[in-house]
Amino acid sequence: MSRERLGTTGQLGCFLAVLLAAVLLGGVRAGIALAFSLGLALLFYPSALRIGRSRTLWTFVVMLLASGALWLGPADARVGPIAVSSQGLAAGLWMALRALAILIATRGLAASTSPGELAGLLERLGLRGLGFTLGVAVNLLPALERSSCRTWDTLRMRGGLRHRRRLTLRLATLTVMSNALRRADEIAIAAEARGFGLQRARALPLRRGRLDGPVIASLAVLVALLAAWR
Amino acid sequence: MKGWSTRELVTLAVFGALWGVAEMTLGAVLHALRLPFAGLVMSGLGVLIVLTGYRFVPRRGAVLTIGLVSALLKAFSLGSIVLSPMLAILAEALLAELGLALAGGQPRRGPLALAGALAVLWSFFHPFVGQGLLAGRGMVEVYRRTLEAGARLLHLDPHAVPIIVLALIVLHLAVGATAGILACSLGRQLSRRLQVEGA
Repeated sequence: MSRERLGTTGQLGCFLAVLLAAVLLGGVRAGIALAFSLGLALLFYPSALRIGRSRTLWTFVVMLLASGALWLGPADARVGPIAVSSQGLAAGLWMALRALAILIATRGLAASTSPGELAGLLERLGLRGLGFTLGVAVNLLPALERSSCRTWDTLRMRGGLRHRRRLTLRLATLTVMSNALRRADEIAIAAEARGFGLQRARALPLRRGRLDGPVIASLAVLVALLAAWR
Repeated sequence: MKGWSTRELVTLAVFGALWGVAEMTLGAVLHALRLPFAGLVMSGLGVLIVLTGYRFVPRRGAVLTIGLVSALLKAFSLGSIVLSPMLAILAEALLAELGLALAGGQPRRGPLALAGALAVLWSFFHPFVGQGLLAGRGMVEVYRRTLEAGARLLHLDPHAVPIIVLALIVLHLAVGATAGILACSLGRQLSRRLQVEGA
């Protein structure tokens, strides 16, 4: 069976390397951090580039550019009645490039690793039992959604939030939480019946990739060089 | 998490899932609508959930575990920008944990109110810290200039800006403390309801 190119640690290494590069490279060099982030995304997690479709992202970028042009640096040009600063616009651009680099890397990590894998990593850092807790939480999501919908429908049939809003909201919260806790009891009993215990629990397995070692080593060297160049 | 029982882990999972669901549904809607104080509302709700959870598992690290579960759930929800809410959830959980540690860790009104106040206070600083981390130090200057321009636009004395900031901080602390106190009574009511149903 062929292994994937990058495993969980490799993906995490890419994310951390971009984060460090973005922090280390200020000003015009932020472009290098973005190029680095884009390169890694193209190589290892191309689905992260779908972030480019997000309107929220581009609103944020425009906000950075506009606020830079308006507030950062002395005004030396005019756009209609508004005085703007070309130096400030450049500063806004560097801020936007840095933000884009980090956001692409974050999206890449989220797209290429599962919650269980991240929990497995954290378990290896000493948070034993987190994988089990996360697994239970994920499995509870549909039940919680159903329970919330049913509770809300029941309350709506009894008049919704038109009268005694505080009482209604409190009753809704109590019902959803008590239903969830009752279900938790059932899960705990089932888990104990199957012999689950924190002492015997093994950390969730991590994916290993063919290129994990070489990629992490190269990224470490690259980040060290960037730190020295800075 | 050493020595924690299966039941405690499952209880933490329940409250982590509740916070995660609230963030993924109501949080996403509030942020998409760009309503003012959306962060404050979500922080208050998150703190209410997490501190109610602490009433059931009053152990050091319980609040942080609930926060971690919720942040991990949020990381894999739909939407493009997840870093900022994840950071907010983790920071709030850490501050609540700190508040509980400072107040002795008892799941009573006082410690829960302090933990809630500290946690919700983060939502005031979060835009500055979060965007500062993303975009760098330039954001601090952007915010300073925006505040000055806002004061000019509203014909406010520039000296009034610190007072407005202070008022906002007090509002956040008050919402957090109220959420902590509500969590205490909600936890009590939940325990009573579960006992009645179990009997």
